[in-house]
Amino acid sequence: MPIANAFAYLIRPGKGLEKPPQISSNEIPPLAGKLNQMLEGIFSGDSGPHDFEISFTPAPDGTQHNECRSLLVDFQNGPLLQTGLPIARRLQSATDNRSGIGLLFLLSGNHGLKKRVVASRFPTDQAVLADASSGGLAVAFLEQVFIKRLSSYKALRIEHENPGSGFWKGIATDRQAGQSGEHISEYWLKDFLNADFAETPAQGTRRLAQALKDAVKKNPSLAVKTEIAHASSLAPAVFGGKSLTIGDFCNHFGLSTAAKETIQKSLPKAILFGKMFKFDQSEFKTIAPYRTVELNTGAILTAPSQNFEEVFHAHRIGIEVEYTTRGKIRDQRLTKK
Amino acid sequence: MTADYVIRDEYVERFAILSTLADKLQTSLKSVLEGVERIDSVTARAKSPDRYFQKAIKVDSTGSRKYSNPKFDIQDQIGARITVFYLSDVERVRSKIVRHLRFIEEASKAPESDSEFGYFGLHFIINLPDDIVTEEEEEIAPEFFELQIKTLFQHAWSEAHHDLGYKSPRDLNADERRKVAFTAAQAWGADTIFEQLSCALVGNDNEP
Repeated sequence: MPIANAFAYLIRPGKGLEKPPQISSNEIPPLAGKLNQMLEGIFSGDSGPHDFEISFTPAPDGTQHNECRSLLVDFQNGPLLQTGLPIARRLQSATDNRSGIGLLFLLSGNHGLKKRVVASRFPTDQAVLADASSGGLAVAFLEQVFIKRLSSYKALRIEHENPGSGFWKGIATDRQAGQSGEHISEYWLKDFLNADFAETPAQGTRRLAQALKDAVKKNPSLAVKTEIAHASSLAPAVFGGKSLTIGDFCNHFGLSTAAKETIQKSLPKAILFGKMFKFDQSEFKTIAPYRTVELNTGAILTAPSQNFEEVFHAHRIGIEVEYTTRGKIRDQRLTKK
Repeated sequence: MTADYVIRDEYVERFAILSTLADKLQTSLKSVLEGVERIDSVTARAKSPDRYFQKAIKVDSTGSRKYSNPKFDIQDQIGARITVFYLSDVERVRSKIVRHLRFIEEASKAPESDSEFGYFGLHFIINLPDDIVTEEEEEIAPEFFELQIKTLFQHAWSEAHHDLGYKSPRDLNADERRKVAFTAAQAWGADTIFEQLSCALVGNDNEP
């Protein structure tokens, strides 16, 4: 679907400044050309692994109000250079010298039955222009060049059939944050959008822990059970406070295809495998706090999942394993299995 | 009028799925609240088609429709309620909920004037958790649900009050309104006294 309206704003840092620099802006006419092709790509592109779902934060008093969201709704309602300017000003007030000069594109149009708005910021760069058109070679140093690199822009895509009551969730991108999205810029997510991941850390972590727990139960292969149990033991130390998807979790520990598939099938729906969240150590430990190994001798060994390997030292003898541990006896129980 | 029936029919078509989602939400909330003490009940249900229709056609003081697009504007098509024993349990449940669910509104409902008694309760508008919505249900599922966290006395009062308001053929007169406020004051008083007792007795359980 084509972009119906496109505007560009050149934004110099203005964070904390009483009189921020002027914002230059212009409407981009809907003409065929490379610029429009590039913008069309950003506007119509599908979600990728760098994208993450965000939810706007309500006002501090709890009311259903978020200034950034309201500006986006206003812009969608009347896409003009003037209605986009408050969005540009908001971005400027969040931009410091570290983020530097940026070029903001505001795009609006339809996507299927939904109204879509895209805000995309490109950082400034420097380049050398080599012009051989005169027969010789003219070389010039250029400042304020905005290079279209898929690894360099930040964006927000928001769409809804009824933007007035919708537009609470969107898809954000921070290509500068790196592959894992681990370092998603606070500047873009919190300061400019006043948003957060669409799911809380506890919510995403709970899903991961539950899927791992179910996968260990479900898959009959001891090798797969062991793989998943090992990864679960290490997870709190590896991922504490980091952003990840369940797919990232599997890849980090190099889990086998069988383990990965079992985990994926343990989720309520496949798409959740790629949904990003921030890892919450305490929640993870709440869901599967203990790891148990059962031997064919009738022995059942249980220890806190996180340090099972430290509590029980495993020594392989052929296909058998000898476990050793040492400690003071604190309690004994007679229980059902 | 035809347009009004379209609103109702559209909702009736979605109602079965909304009910299924409400059941799944109830299970999900119970799972999140596992281990939290003094929760009397956790329930979730889809708004009945009649109630939805009545809300959808409401008008404001200017006579205009309050909801221009009820399907998206009405955020309590699925409603959940958690009832707890004491006032301090409301906060305990609240902290568990905000840790696990992303919300777009939180409102502590109370009468406008401090010298009035009426409805009390903690309300949220929360993103419907992705885990409970299958791929097939995505187009139909609402984005949000309403959650109310109340004490047993707050809940009991609001249920009876709602029933009176819903079934009464006329507006209440001054004396009846005063009686309603009196019952609210009694519920508030009971909560206050039980809270004091629970702090003195239940809260001290683990102290030597």
